[in-house]
Amino acid sequence: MTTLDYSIPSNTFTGPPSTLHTGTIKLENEEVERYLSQLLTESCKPLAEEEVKKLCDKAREFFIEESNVQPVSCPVTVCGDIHGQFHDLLELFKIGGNCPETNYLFLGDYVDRGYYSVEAVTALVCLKIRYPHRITILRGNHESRQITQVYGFYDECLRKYGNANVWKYFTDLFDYMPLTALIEGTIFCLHGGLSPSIDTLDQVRALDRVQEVPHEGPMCDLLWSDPDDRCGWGISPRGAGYTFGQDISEQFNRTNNLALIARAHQLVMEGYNWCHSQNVVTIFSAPNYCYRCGNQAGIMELDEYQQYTFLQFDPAPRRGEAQVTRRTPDYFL
Amino acid sequence: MQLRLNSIKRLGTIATALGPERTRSELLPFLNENIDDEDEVLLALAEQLGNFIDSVGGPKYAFCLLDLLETLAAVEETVVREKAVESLNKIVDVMAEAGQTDDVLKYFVPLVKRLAKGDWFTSRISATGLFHSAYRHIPRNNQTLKDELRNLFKELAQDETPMVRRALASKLSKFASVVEVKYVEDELIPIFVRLAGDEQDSVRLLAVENCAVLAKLSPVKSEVREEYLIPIARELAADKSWRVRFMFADKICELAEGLGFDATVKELAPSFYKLMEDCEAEVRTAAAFKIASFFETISRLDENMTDSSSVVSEVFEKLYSYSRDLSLDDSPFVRSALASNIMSVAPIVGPEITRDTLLRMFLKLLQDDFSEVRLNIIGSLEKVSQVIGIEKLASDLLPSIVELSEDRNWRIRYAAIELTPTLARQLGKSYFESDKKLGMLCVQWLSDTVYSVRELAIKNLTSLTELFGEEWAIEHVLPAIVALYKNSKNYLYRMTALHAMSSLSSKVPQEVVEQLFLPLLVEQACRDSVANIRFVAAKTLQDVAQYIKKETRSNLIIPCLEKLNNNMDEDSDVRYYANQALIALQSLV
Amino acid sequence: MNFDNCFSNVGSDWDHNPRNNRDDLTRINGYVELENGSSERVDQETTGFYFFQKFPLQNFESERDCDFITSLAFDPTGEFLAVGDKSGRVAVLKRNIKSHGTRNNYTDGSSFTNFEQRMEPKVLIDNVSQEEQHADGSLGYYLWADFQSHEPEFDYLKSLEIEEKINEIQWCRPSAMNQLLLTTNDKTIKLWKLREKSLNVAASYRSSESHLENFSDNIWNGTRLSPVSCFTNKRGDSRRTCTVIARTKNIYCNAHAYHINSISLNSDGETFLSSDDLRINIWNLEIPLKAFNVVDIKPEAMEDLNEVITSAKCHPCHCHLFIHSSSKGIVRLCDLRSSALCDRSALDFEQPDLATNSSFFSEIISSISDVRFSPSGEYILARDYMHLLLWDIRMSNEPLLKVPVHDYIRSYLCELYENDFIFDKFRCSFSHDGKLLFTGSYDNKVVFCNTMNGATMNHSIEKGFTRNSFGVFHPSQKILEVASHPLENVIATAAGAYVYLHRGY
Repeated sequence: MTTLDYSIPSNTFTGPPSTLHTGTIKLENEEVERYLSQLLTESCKPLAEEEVKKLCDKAREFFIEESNVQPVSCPVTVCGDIHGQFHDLLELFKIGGNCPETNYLFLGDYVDRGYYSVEAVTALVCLKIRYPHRITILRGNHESRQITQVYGFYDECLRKYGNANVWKYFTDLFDYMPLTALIEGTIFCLHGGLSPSIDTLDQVRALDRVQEVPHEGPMCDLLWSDPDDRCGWGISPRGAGYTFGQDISEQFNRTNNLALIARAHQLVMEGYNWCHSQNVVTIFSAPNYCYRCGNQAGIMELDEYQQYTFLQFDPAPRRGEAQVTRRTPDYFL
Repeated sequence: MQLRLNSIKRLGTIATALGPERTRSELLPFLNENIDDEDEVLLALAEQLGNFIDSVGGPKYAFCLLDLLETLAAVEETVVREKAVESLNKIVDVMAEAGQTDDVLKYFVPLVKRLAKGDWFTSRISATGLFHSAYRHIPRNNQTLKDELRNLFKELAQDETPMVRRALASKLSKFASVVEVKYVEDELIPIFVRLAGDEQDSVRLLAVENCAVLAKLSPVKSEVREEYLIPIARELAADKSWRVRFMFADKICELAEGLGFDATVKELAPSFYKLMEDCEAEVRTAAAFKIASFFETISRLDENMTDSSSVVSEVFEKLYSYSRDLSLDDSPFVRSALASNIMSVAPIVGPEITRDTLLRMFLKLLQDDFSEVRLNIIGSLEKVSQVIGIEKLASDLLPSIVELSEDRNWRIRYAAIELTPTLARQLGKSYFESDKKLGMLCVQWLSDTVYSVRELAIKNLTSLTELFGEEWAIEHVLPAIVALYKNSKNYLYRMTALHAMSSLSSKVPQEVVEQLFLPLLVEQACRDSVANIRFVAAKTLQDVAQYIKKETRSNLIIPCLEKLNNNMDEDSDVRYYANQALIALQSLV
Repeated sequence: MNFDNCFSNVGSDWDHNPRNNRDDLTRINGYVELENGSSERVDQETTGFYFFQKFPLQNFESERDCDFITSLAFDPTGEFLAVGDKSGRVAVLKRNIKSHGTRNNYTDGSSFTNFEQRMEPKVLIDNVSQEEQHADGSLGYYLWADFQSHEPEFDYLKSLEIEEKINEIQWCRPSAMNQLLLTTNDKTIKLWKLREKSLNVAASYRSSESHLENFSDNIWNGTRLSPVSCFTNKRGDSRRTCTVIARTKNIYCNAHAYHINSISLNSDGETFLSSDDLRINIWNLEIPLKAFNVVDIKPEAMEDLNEVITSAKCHPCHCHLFIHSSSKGIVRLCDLRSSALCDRSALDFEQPDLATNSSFFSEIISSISDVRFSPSGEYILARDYMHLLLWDIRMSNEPLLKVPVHDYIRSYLCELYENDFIFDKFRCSFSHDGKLLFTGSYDNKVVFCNTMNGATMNHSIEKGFTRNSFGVFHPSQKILEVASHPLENVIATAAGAYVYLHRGY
C-alpha cells in the first residue's frame, strides 16, 4: 500500500521538486527507491560500486548538516546493534513497521561480524537519503576504518566488490555520522556511554566529530563506554572508553535534565536491559548475535507521549548459508 | 563466460545463418573441439542440441548431433549429463518417427553401448537413461541387438560403482515398460531382486518404487507377483535400514496400487502397521503422512471387489488404533504429520466412525503442546466438519484458536490468522460477530504489537468482508476501525486503522466510505500532530478516492490534499505524498 | 642389488646420476627437487620396504614451518598422491607414464596419451635394480598440479584466526577430464576439480579470463572465492607445456562450530562425512548448503564435557557404517540403518586395561589421533600416542593387537608434555592388502607391524640428526603423516616438508 505511481506525468500540480534536498549531488528519489527495492524487497543484491559512491556522497550532505546531538522528535522506534545481520534487519522492519511510516533511530554498529554488512549499511544509508526526517542513524564504534579492517566489513567489501573502494566510501562517510541524538530533549541516545571529559550536552555539541574514531578522549568514550554496577569511572576491559556507575548516570541526567540514557553496544539476552535504576537502558537488535549467542533482539517503541514499549524478536529464518539439520534431509533418502 | 553462454544460447540463430550444410561441416566440429568449458556453457549446449535437428538439416542428419552429446553425457557435472541424456532421447525419438531406423541402429545404439561400457562411471550413469529409448526403436526382428542391450543392462546392474547401480535402479521401471513381458519376467525381475538385496542402502531404497511399478505392469503374471514382488516387498518393509523402511512407508500407496487389493490387505497393511510403530521417528513420520492416502487407496481398490467390506473395516480399525498411538507419539514431528492428514479419512469412514473415534483424536491433537500440530489439525477442519457438522467442534476449537492467536511467537499468531478465512467458511457468520470470541479476536489482531500481524489482520478482515458481505462489515468491523483510530494514543495503531480503511473501502458501499471514513481522514488524520499519520492519510485518500463520488473528490479531498501540499505542511514527506496523491487523483478524472 | 646405480626409466636425455646433476634438475623443474634415496639397507631388509623417492614441496634450501606437510592421500587408483601442507597448498603428484596399462582403471587412454608422451618424468627412481624396474614398470611420481586450496581467514563472529592448514584430503571418483578431491582446513571443506588444459597461449589466456568471470559470477553469493590456480609445468628446453587447472566446484562452510578434524567419503560415492570435536555431519557432494548432523556429543553444560571426537571414517564398502574415535581411547561404530541420529553408537571398541594403569599422562596419551578401516572393512586400526591398536570388527571387547610404537619414549613423557609433543597427531594406515600396519614415529621413523604375527619393524627414513636436548631421540624429527597406495605395496610418508615414497619388495 506504499506503492507510488511515478508514471503519471504532472502538468497541473507544481509540488516540491522530486529531489528533496538541494545539495550538489544529484540523486533522484526514483533512483534511491530503486536501490531500496533492490535491497529490501527483491534479491537483496548489493548495489554497484558507482551507485554506492553516489549514495555516500549524497549521504554526506545530510550528515554534515546534523548536530553532534541530533534532535529527534517522538514518536520514534529506537534500535541497537545490527552487525551485518541483514536478514534480521528485514525482520526488524517486519516487527516495527517499514520506514517511512515508522520513524527510526539507530544507535550504530551496522557493520562487522555478520555476513551482510554491505547490504545492511547500504539499506540504512538509502533510507536516510530518501527519508531524512524519518530515520536517524548514529555512529557506533564499528563505524571506523580500524575496527572494520579487523572485524569483517573490509573483507566483505573486498569479497563482494573485488576491491576496497566501497569500504573506503563507507568509512569516509562514517566520519560524518552524528555521535548522539536527543529525543524530545529528554532521552539521550548514543552507541556506547558517557565520558569523564563530558558533563553537559553542550560539550558534546562542541566536539569536532568529522574524523576517524580516536583511541581516546570524549568522542572515543561516547562510542565505547559501558555502564557498570560499580560506582564512579572504571577502566574498560575493552581497551577503549570507560565503565561508568549509577552515580555518574544520575548526575549526568540531572545536569542535563534528562529522563533516560538509551544506548546499545552490549549484548543483552532479552534484547533490552535496564540498569542504573532506570537511568540507562541498553538496546541490542541483532538476534542470535554472531549466529550463535541465542539472544533475543529488542527495539524500543516510543509513542508521541514518550511512552515506551519494548518489542522482542527472534532471528529471521536463515537462508543462503549452510543449514545444519538434525532432521534427515532429502538427499539422504 | 557470459559471452560464451550467450553465444551458445543463440546457437540456433547462428546455425540458421550458416545453413544446414555449414552447420554440419563447420559449426559442429568447432563445438566438438571446444567442449572443454564451463559447466553452465555445457549445460546450455546440451539443451540447445536437443532442439537442433532442423538446424542440421532435419532427421536425416540428426545423427550428426550424437557425437557431441555423447561427450556431454560423460562429463562430471550431473545436470549437464542429465540434460544431454534428455536431448539424446529427444533426438532418437525424432529420428525414429521420421523413419530413420537405420540411423538409430547405426549411430544411436552403438552410442548407448559405448557409454554403457565407458571407463568413467559418469558415462555409465548416462547410459542407464538411454536404454529404454534405444530398445524401443529397435525393430522387432532384430532380436540379437535387443538381447545385447538387455545383457548390457544386466551388466550395469552389477556395476562396481554404487552410483551406477543407483542410476540403473531408478531407470529400471522405465526400461521395463518397453521390454517384452517375457523378458521382464525372465531378466528384469531377477535384476530387481538383485538390486533389492544390494549391500548399499542407497540402492535398496530405490527398489521400493521399482517394486510398485513392476507390479503395476499389467501383463506381468500373477505368479511373478506372488513369487518375487510380494516377498520382496515384505522384506523391504522389514529392512534393517530405516531409510529403506522410510521409503516403504512413503511409497505405500503406489505399492498398494501395484500389488492389488488382496496383497494390500494381507501383506502391505500389516507391514504398514509395523512401520507406524517403528523404532525410528523418521519412519513413523513418513507413515503418519501417508495414513489418509493409504485409507483412500484401500477404499478405492475395494470398490472393484465385492463382499470385502468386513476385511476393509478391520484394516481401518487397525489403522485407526495405530494412529491413536501416533497421536501420543513422543516426537512432535510424528504428531504434526499425523495432524496434517488424518482428518482426511473422515469423509471415507463416514459420520459414525468420525463421531465415535476420529473426533477424539481431533480434540486431542487440538490440545497438543507443539503449535505446528495444532495449526495442522485446525487446517484440516474442513474435512471433519463436512462429515459431522461444525457445531460438534466449535466449542473445543475456539479455545485452541484463542491460544494460538495469543502465542508468544508472532509467526504462530500469523499462521493462526492465516487459517481464519478457512475457519470462517466452515463456521459461518454467526461466530464472527463482534460479541463473539472470534469476531473480537479478528478486531483485536489489528492491535497486535507486531506490524506484520497487524497487516495480516487487515487482510483477514477484508477477506471476511468478502465472505460475509458489507452488512457484516458495517456492523462488526467498521466501528472497530474508527474506534481504533480514535482511541489509539500510539500513531502506529492509528496508522493501522488508516491502512484498514484503504483496504476495506473497495468492499463496502460508497456512502459508508464517504460518511464514515472521509470525515475521519479529512478532519482528523490530515490534521494529526504526527507527520507520519498525515502522509499516510494522504496515501489513504489517494486509495479511497476511486470509491467515492466525483463531487466529493473535488470538494473535499482535493482541497484537503492541496492544503497538505503547496508548502503548507511543515513536513516534506507529507508534502511529497500529498503531491503524489494529487497527481494520482488527476488521472482519475 | 646395486643401489648406487640410479637411473631413469624414460629420460634418455637425462644424466643417470642425479647427484651430479642436481642443479640441472632444479633448473628444469623448479618444483621438484631430486634427492637420492639413501636409506639404510639394513632397514630395507627388516621391513621389506625401501625408500625410492623424496619430494620437497618447495624449492627452498631451508625447511620452513609453513611447508610442513599436514595430509597425504592416494586416489583410489594410486595414480595420484595429494599432499596438503600447513600453508594451505595442495600438491598433486602423478605416477609416471610408463606405469600405464596395467593398473589404471579409470584413465581414458586417448585423452591423456598425447599429453603424457610430451611430459618428461621429473623424478628418477633410486635404489631399484634393473630387474625390479622391469617387473613393475615405473615407480616414480612427478609433480602434476599444485594449487592454493585454503587461505588464512578470520572468523569475525568469533574473533578467531582460521588457519589455512590442510587437515585432510579425500579423493572422489574421477570422471572424464576431471580429478575431484575434497580438502578441508579447520572450518571449510572444498571440492576441487582438477583438469588438464591444452597447451597453447590462447588456452592460458582463456583460463585467466574465465578466472575473472568466475569471480564476477560469484560476487553476490556471499561465499569466499577460491582463486583458480594454474600450474604450468614447463620443460626448460621445450616449447611444450602442460597446464592443470584447479577450480573449486563446491564450498561446504559454516556448518562446524568446532575445528574439523577429518572428512571421509562414503562408499555410496555421493555423500561424505565431516567431523569436528563434538559433532559429525553428513553432506551430499552436490548440496553444499545443507548438512545433516548425525552425531552430537555436546553436553548440555560445557563443564560436563569430558571427551571429544578426534577422527571419523566411513566404512569402505557399507555406506551405512562409520566409526569415530575419541580422546578417551574409544572407537565407536555407528550404524546409519538403525537410527537417523547416531548420537548413541552401535558398538564401542575399548581397551579393557586402559582404566587400570593410570598416570598423570594416561588420559592424554590414550587419545586416539587417527582411525582407519582395513581395506576389507573387517578390521579397525587406531593410533594413540604410544600404540597402534587393531580390533576385529566382530570383537569389540579388546583389541587383537596393541603394538607399542615407541615405548622407549615413555620415560620422557614429562618433557614431551612440556614441549607439547605429547599432543602430536600421528596417523596410521593399513598396507593395500591389509597385511601390514604402519604409522609414524619420532627420529623420522616409520613403524611397521605384521598383522599375521604381530612382529614389528622400524625404519628410519633419514639419518644424521643433530643432537638436541633429549639426547636419545629427536621429537622434532617426526613422521606424522602416512598413507598407503590402494593397490600396490607402496606407501607414502611425510616428514617436515618432504614426502617420502617407499616400496615393498
